[in-house]
Amino acid sequence: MKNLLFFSMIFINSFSNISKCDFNKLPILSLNIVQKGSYIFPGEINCILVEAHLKNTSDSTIGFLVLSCSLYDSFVLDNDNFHILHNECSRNTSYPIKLEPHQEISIPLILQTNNSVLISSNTLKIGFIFIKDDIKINEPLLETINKCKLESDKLVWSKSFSVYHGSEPILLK
Amino acid sequence: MFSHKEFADAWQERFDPYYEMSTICQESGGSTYQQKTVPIRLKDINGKLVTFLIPALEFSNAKIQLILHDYRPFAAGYQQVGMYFALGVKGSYYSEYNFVQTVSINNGKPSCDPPVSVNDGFYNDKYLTEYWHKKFPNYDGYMEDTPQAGIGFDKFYELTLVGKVGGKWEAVTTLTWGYTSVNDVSSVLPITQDINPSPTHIKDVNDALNFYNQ
Repeated sequence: MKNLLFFSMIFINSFSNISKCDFNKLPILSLNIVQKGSYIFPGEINCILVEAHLKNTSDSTIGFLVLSCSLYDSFVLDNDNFHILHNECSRNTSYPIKLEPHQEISIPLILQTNNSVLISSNTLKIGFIFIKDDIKINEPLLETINKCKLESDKLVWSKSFSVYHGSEPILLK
Repeated sequence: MFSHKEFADAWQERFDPYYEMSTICQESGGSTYQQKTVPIRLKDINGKLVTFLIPALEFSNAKIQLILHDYRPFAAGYQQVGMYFALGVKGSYYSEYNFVQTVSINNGKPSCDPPVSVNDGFYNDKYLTEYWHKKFPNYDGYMEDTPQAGIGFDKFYELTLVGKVGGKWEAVTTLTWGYTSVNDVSSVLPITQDINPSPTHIKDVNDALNFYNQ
């Protein structure tokens, strides 16, 4: 009886592990980062505007879930010197997005760091958390996203890039 | 420094036992709500499995049941806090349901949420409504919000359920919800029936109904 319980638990665990975050087996989405500019605020705060270009590289439509306002919640960075700036949100609800074959969307993200980091030049990668839109989840989407964030090998990662210093960062007073 | 652990401890201290019904729901006005609770099991922000008693509000006059699907605060990181709010509707009296919501931040002037320009005053657009029907077939209507803001922001929401009957949309009932955040800890406000909605909310509801009834 104990054996049966043990193997049942293994089966359930295996099943739940592939249910939400396992995107690696379906490499149908690419993530390309385009840097748009960097901005220096007083107090040695730097902001870097980037566009995350998500492209459906397959020949079929794919659907995934994001939060309608805090889209940044679906992205992670591999470098702790940076974080993604949050913005004030109105209606922030689970929202299904459909990408037609080879369709691309761009999502603006503002990365924040301090001056010393920017000057010393850092490289980073940005990851996207793909949650299929037909997945059955009985918890807030943000909780599912946060769990998947911990499984970095199951995210869609951009190539590693050096932070663009821009021609000259714009000083905002 | 903001700490998830500290937040979780403070939250548990403040909300343990979770959601005493006497504080989360207040009967008011003509007592049109009957209150009961439904236990559900969820994981808290530390991954610990806890039992929540979710209040189910029965709107007896119109044979509509409002089910509070989720209602709790969370720490969003980087000096941010927020909360989960999700509401389900059961009832066949109306053929369709939607919501009109206004938000007041730090006691400021209320504004439509989402802005009227997004969906002409209704909370769920057609795309979202179809998605909720597929995801929650047991509900006849559903909405959720995950507001986030910096520590120190208070958010107060007025939410009117609207239903379609005989080809016309009409207001069914209005609730209030929201949260406050003080010293790294956010706490939910009690859900109440709003018997005296703000003039802005009334205007937003009327504008939305007029638009969708054209």
